[in-house]
Amino acid sequence: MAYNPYYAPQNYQQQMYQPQQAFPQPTQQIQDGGFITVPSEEVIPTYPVGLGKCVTFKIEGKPIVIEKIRGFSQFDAPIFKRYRLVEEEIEEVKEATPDTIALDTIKGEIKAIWNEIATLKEPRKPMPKKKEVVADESEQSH
Amino acid sequence: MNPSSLINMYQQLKANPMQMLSQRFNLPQNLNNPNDIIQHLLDTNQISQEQLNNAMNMRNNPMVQQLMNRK
Repeated sequence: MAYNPYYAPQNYQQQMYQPQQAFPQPTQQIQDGGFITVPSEEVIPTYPVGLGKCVTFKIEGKPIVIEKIRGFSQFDAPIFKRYRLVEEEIEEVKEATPDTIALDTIKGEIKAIWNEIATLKEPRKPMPKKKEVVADESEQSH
Repeated sequence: MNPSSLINMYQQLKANPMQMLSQRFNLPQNLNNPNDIIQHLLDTNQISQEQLNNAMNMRNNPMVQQLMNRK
């Protein structure tokens, strides 16, 4: 077979251009940096917070919570969010005591008895009449 | 580590503690403020936010305050 300096089209596998897949950058999310109690708000601006972290501060003696959020760049200024706590009345949940449990069972039994009485009071369906036996005249003659 | 090296380290620490800390934690020379030093340690992941919070909470402990006030 003669040497063919030219590539045969069928032997030449043209590599398709495959653009380099750009892997999606992982979405950076601010991570929780913990909860700390501080004596006053003055400490918070100078409190060190790591990159991409959110530290929550509770002011002692005050219903105030402040979040300090730091971005992912050293040049990002921290963001502060201030919240005020509102007290809610918590309804006391009555726990079942042994007396209440016994009372509940008794109530259930009484209810069952009343239901049974109600069924007894219902008008009974008439019983089917028995067939009257007619005396045979032949027997009577004896 | 032999005792003489330990003694040498202790003497260096006592003479110039900031220099020892800078060498140990690879701190820039211009850092003098404690908050700046802690921030640098945070940014370089040498300490975690949780460790820092725990240390700060310890400062509120009366026993720790008593120890800190001792000279």
